[in-house]
Amino acid sequence: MSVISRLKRLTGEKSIDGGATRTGDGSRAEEIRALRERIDAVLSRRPEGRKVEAPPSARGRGVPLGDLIPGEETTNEAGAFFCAYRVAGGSSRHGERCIRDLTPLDMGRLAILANDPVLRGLDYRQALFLDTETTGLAGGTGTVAFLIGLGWFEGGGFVTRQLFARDYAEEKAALLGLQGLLRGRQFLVSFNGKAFDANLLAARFIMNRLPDPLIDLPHLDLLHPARRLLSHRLGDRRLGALEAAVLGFEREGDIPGSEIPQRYFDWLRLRDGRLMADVFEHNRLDILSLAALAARLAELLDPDGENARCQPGDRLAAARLFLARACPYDAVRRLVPLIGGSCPETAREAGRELSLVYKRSDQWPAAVAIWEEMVRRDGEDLFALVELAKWCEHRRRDIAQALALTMRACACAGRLSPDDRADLSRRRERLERKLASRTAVK
Amino acid sequence: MAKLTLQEWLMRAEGDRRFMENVRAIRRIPTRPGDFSGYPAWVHPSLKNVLAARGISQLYSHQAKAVDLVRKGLSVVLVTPTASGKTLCYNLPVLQKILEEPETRALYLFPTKALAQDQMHEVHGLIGELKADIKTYTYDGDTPDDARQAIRRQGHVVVTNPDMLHAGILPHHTKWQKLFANLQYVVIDELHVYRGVFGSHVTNVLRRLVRICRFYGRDPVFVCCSATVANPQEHAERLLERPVTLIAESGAPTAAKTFILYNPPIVNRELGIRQSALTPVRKMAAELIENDVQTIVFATSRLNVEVLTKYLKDRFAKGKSVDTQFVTGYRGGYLPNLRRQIEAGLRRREVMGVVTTNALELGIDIGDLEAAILCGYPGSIASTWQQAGRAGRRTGQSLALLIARSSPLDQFIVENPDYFFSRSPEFCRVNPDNLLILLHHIKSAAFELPFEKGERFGGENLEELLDYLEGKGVLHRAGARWHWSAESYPADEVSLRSVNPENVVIVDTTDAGNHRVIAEVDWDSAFTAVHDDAIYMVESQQYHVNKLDLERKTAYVRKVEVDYFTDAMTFTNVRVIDAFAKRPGREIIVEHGEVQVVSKVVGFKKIKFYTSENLGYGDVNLPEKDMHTTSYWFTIPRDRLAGLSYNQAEIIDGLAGLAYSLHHLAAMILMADLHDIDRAIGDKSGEWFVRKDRNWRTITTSPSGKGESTPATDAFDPTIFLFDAYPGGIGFSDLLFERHDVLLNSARQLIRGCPCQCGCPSCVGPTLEVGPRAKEAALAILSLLQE
Repeated sequence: MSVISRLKRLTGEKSIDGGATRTGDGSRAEEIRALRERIDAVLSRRPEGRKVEAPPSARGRGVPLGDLIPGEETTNEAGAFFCAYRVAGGSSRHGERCIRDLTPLDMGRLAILANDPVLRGLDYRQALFLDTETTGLAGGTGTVAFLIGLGWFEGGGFVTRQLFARDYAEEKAALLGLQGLLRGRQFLVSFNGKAFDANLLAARFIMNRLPDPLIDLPHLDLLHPARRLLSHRLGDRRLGALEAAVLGFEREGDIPGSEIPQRYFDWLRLRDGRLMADVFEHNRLDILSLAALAARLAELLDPDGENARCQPGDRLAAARLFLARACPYDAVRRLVPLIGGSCPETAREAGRELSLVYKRSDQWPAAVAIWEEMVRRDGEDLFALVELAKWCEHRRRDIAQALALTMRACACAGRLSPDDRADLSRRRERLERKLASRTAVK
Repeated sequence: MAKLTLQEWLMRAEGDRRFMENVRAIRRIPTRPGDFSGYPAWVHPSLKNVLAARGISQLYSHQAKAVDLVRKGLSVVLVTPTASGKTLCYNLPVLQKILEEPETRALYLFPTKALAQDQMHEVHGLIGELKADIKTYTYDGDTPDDARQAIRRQGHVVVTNPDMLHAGILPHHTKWQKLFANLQYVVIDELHVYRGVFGSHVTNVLRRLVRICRFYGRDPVFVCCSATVANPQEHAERLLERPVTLIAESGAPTAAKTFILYNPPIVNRELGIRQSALTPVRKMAAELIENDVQTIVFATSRLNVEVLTKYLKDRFAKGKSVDTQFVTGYRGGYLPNLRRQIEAGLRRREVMGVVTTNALELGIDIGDLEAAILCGYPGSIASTWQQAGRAGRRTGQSLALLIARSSPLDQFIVENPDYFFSRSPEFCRVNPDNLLILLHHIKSAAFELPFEKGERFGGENLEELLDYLEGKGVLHRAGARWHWSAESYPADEVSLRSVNPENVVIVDTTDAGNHRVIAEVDWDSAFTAVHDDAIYMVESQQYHVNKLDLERKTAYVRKVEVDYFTDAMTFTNVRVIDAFAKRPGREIIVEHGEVQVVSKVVGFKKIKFYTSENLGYGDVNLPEKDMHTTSYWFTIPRDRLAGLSYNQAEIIDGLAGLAYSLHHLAAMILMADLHDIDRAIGDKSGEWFVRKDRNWRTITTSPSGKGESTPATDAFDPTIFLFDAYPGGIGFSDLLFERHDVLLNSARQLIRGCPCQCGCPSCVGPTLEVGPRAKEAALAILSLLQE
């Protein structure tokens, strides 16, 4: 008996010996027909699908990829792959902005975003924007980046190239193609690419026994700075949510990312270009959004915050990013105007950050002035009371005053967490001891 | 009262007539000097110095032989006793190679996380003293994310377990490029643990490992260690699928040990009921601990660990303050932190008594305990020696005390001490080509690396299986390669250790506002452990199962305090599909082959604590399970049976009793858990089978039918089936088929030698369950079979 019949008996699948091959083929054809019907239904529901005039005879024969996506087969020594080519002109819009308004990108600010000073010496036209579409999110060597989307600024516009492995066998050629396009590119820009795209591609290069050309490139991953700069605005920090909220870009009829792997598996079996058209478009828009987001995040670092589109919260976030990047001067420049600002919550937070900068740089009078102002505004400001108490205890050596401030903080009953309470009571006991011993000496 | 030393306690015990009445054997294993050998010339001086500083100025003969073979690039399997310095056999050549070629990498596999941790400490210690830049790490589920990258790149010696290799390392081999591209040694300790289902999976994981190594141009040397079994070399070669040299002669000296086999007294001769093993275990453990003899108690089940811990804790809670760690339980379900704490407590002698399952059997360092009490035969001679070895690994005098339960296996062992103390009769078996197991690993392997046409993986037709998987839509063929083509991560779909990777979570609903998960059980155990109205125990706390929801894979329980536990009753129907081989014989048909098994949990018994009294029954309504597997069976023609002077019901009882003892003895030969094989009585057609309800045994036709008994001997050629309790079979049945005569002889020895009057749990099963004439009928049937 064949292996498969034995296996089917174990799994309880139905199969009849001898007739197995015929029924197998029959059900396969049936399955493909069902798949086609499902796809037709899916595509006709989508605006993207409707744009494409599906020929009436399409059922049974797919639409060639080249008919739907501008691009061509490209060959190199590893074989062939499909490369899509598009240019977004300088005047074309992506959300609120035209492409030409995105540039030039301020490399100093990109370096801050990336936390990599190397970027300062580079040119924004050397950036390679990268986003891949993959056969899954699980990671591991069984996940393949079948579509490698790349983009860069060129001649006032934005160029995208999408390298597509039409089958697993074309992957090596596509990876070599990526290698070729890296010439002249000095750094990568991605969204979550450090953890995902670059990581996955590293595995793919090893699997294809090719050197990894990405590994040594500086890499600006926008995910982390975007979180730092925009988390006060957004709960959802995925690229799609950012697009709508900060780029003013709404997608229409976009394929959900979760459906993309299945589209590719379906494509492998049916070779119908309509299955992939949405995926190419999705990926191209992702790359454009990367460029727009990079520009927008750089803008949020505008030193004077004069840009009308910056809210106080944005400026506070920018200041905090500078603090995290150990650039206190830039942070102070943004914090000072915020203290007197109209939004009390931002003003308080800015005061707090600023006072800590002053404290760390031994500018005690400036720090104390802020704390005193904070206490004037809110007599129960725990942070300010505690900082003043520390200052009194350790700098001014005024134990009695420190204890008085601590007692005052202890009285802010409603605002104390158990940890706060424990800290305060430790402080209080210490101060009381000190006070007692001093009195004793006297 | 003055405390006794172990020696004094032993002297007193040996002078105690009532104790000695129950002792079946006392063996004194004498001190034996070692057989030594100098270091090979190639050993690096600093390595030699470090070892010398640890008191290892020369090697044991088996170590010298092993390191020499490994050095020459040969794979070896070492079969030497506990504490014979096995770890040095691989640490020495591995560290030596790393000193010579710093790029060298080695992978150590241990069956449990705990063992891996322990081994890491040992290697770490050596390296620290070497003052060499050698890095060793454990890599398992507890490894923090931020440490993983460093381990992948820098770890010279990576210590892990097969599960992690399967699900965490091989599917991400590109991240481990550095390891695989330089992998020279793979160490597999406790090789005998990899048998049955687990071993069949592990064989496939090793196939995948070798395949990945080949991708990176490596062919590592394998160094394996195993407990003493009947077929260590054959087993190693089946697992590694390459020639392996056996080293079985130990050159290590042996410390003195007293080994006692103890059989609790019979309390009811008619029923053949013995005192529960828990009673003497409890008493002796308490005595030893009281005398400051640090004692480890091995119980055979999670339940017994909890019960014994509770007893001992109660016992010492009276005298002591609420120092809960003075005696404690220890088993797999405990959280890692708690386990580390207990291990450290044992090393510091703060924990003076520990009750454990086999979780502490293997080489976890818990220091030198003085006494090991085995509450029940651990199921294999290999395990027994390992458990006994936990006492006195290095000390002068130690005690191992095996206290038998009334199970046939335990009784056979304590009543046949020579069998136990002579050469191992136990076999390790794997069936890596079990189609279900193989298929899982083909998927995982395809995920790791596309399959090329003409490639080999396992013993079945690979291309057919790849095409099948392509048809299922998980692989895609491009030219001469099959690529993984699905979103899922196949290694997560299978657990190496259980039949079904799906688990049932147990949710405590005692506090209505705060439901919390307290444990998990695997799918198959769920049917017997957490059916409706079962009593489930965690940490000596009893829970009543309110509802087992199979759809949600959840059992809802609430805390209770009752004086009983529950024991599930199942019934089974077997139908022969295909006989692979038949023994030449006149009348008795002995075969093995493929069968279909339908089983169902029908009810449960409530059993009272301490007295084991049966308090009543409950019904369980769970779906049937249907499985194809392999079986060994024999059929006795009905007219031969008709010639015996027993009536139909008695003959059926006799068959049931015989099957009972054969089942237990088969488990012994295979080192299998009783649940890994199962038994049934029916006829080959599957038309008739014997089912047992509560107290009566009937021949029925339909698995779900109730009470429609048709005592029709004339339509029934009784057949006893012993089958692999795993879909597709695990290689047990052909071995049983080969050893049919040994099995029957052992059964005769067991039943004849049993002092009970008419059947007891130790031979043919409890009289109340098998009927008053089962024992003699079973012996009569055996005579027929052996004519």
